[in-house]
Amino acid sequence: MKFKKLKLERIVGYGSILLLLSLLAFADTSEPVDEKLLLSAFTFNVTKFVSWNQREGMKKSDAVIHIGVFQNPALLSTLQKITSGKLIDAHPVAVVSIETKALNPASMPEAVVLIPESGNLSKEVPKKLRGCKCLLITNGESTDQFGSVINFYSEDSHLRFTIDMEQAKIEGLELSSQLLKLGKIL
Amino acid sequence: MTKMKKDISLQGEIRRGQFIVTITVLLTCGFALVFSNWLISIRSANRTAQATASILSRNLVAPLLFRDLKEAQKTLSSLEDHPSFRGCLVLDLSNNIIAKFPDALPPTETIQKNWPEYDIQDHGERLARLILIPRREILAQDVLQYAVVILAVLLIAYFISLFASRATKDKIDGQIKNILQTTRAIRQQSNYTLRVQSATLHRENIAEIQALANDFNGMLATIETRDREIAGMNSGLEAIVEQRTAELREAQVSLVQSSRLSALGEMSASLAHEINNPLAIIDGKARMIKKSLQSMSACPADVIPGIERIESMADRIAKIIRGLRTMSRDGSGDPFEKVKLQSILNDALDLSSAKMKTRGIEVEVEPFDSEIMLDCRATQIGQVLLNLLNNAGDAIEKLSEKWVKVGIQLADARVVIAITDSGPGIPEEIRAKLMQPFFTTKAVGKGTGLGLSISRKIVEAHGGTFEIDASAKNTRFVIKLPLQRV
Ligand SMILES: Nc1ncnc2c1ncn2[C@@H]1O[C@H](COP(=O)(O)OP(=O)(O)OP(=O)(O)O)[C@@H](O)[C@H]1O
Ligand SMILES: [Mg+2]
Repeated sequence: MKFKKLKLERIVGYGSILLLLSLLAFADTSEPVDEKLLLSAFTFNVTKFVSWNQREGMKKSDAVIHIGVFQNPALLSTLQKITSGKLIDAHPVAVVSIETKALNPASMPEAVVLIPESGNLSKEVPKKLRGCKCLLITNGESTDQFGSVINFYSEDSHLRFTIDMEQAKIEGLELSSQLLKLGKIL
Repeated sequence: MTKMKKDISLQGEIRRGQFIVTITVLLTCGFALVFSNWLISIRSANRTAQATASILSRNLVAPLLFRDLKEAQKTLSSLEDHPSFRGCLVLDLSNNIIAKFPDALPPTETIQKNWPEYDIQDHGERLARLILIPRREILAQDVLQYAVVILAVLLIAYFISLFASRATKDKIDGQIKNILQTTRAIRQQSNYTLRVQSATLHRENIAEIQALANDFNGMLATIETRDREIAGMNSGLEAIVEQRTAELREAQVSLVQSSRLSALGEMSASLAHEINNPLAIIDGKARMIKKSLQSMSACPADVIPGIERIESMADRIAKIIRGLRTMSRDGSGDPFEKVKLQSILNDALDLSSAKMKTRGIEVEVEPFDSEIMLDCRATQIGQVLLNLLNNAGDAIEKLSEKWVKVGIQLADARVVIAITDSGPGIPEEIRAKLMQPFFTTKAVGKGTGLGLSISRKIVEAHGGTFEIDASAKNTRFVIKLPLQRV
């Protein structure tokens, strides 16, 4: 009967990250939360609820899931910190930076591209991203134009997200029902 | 102070023993049952908890990851009406409760150590802890059920044990009762030939009781044989006493006889002497007178026969005197000698003839071989014959038909002398007593009652037999004597 057998090694091993996550997840809302950290954690979490295995090029278990960060070095570094050494369904995770020039639907990171401060982006970007077959995550209320699947927004000082099911279909993404329960379906 | 009366009967003892055994066995079984059931229920509870927790954990991962506590709370509400758990708690890694079900769960309720606890993990990372709160009532209910079952089993077992104790008691009782009945019967009847029978009531006897019964029977057998030995010794003693008494009586008889005979002998000796002298003179003078008369020519013809008759009468008197002397002698010390039976018989007949004649009794001697010689004490045999003749004479004195017959025959080197009188025979009831000393039917002073007993003794001393012939129509005494001394 090992009801509460704590695995000390694990606590020591992941101590810092756990603490971080717990802080991220359950910290009192009155406390100022680093928005970049929160966004990074949510982004990473969202990627966990996509069945990557179904996608072409991801059938191999060691195929790397790339998370591309568009024009946001601060977010890039935070995400890199959070995801270092992590696996999603046995797939290693790599966070990469994406420049506007390099926007090319054929060579987009197979996984995710986060678009921060989406409102400031040029009108070229949505056009270039269309048909990229990737999970597009945006932040802000007026980012529909990008055709993102997930869009973060703030509500009662809580970070929430919408899910564009149609767009997900277009991109050929299969999202977990767990995620669907939490997000606002469009 | 009143003490509880303890039932010390066999049944009580058995029942107590059985009760203790039953209770012990049942309690042991009961506890084992409860314990095993408890283990099983714990195991199944664990399994249920594990399954429940794994479902809950899986559903809680997303809400936790996205900090959606409302959704987490919703997920927990799936526990509603759960048969094993009444609620649960979700704790963050610093042990703060971040979600709980039901909402009404008082926050003060302390977390029990035995509540099952699980980690909620995402890709191997611990997100939070899930604690399930079991329904205590269900466990309590289980215990109640066990208690009812155990109680029922206890009751059934108790009744079975009662039944068993009765059966055992009956069995032992039946066998002990058997012994008790026998002892009681022996006490009442003092009959030591009784034995404890093996109880047939039960197929097998209890070995100890059987052994007891066997030993008891053995003891009875010992008592019985001892009893018999004592009885035998008693009867032996009686026989010895009887024998001694008989010997004493015989000694007395022969003492009386010899004293009587010796008195008679003395008297008859002096009588004979007194009579012999005058008799010799009478005989001598009669011969002289006869001689002188024969020489005379003128002598009346009837005188000589008269004198001859005097002579013969004197002879006869002399003979009787001689016989009297012989008969009255105690001949037991005489030597055996060969004597003509005829002369012994004639002596006896002579002595009794006068009496017979005065009584008008006809004495007839059937013809027999006069040459028969008997090796005997003649005096004694003469006494026997005289005795029988006198008895016959006495017995038929008053009958209208008066006769006595003497018959003598030879058979297998034995002489059979039968003396029969006209009497009707001896009634059976006194026949046996007749030979006993001092038995007489004659008036006091007339008979001694010794005649027959002495006669028999004499005959038996000669190796002969002395019997009453009961088959004869008249009174008949038969003597058988061996011709040669045995
Ligand atoms: N021939 C007989 N007929 C009938 N009764 C007899 C005869 N002989 C003997 N008895 C009976 O037997 C009895 C015993 O006889 P027993 O000769 O022993 O004694 P007793 O004649 O009475 O006496 P004792 O001989 O001394 O004079 C007699 O008293 C008589 O009653
Ligand atoms: Mg007599």
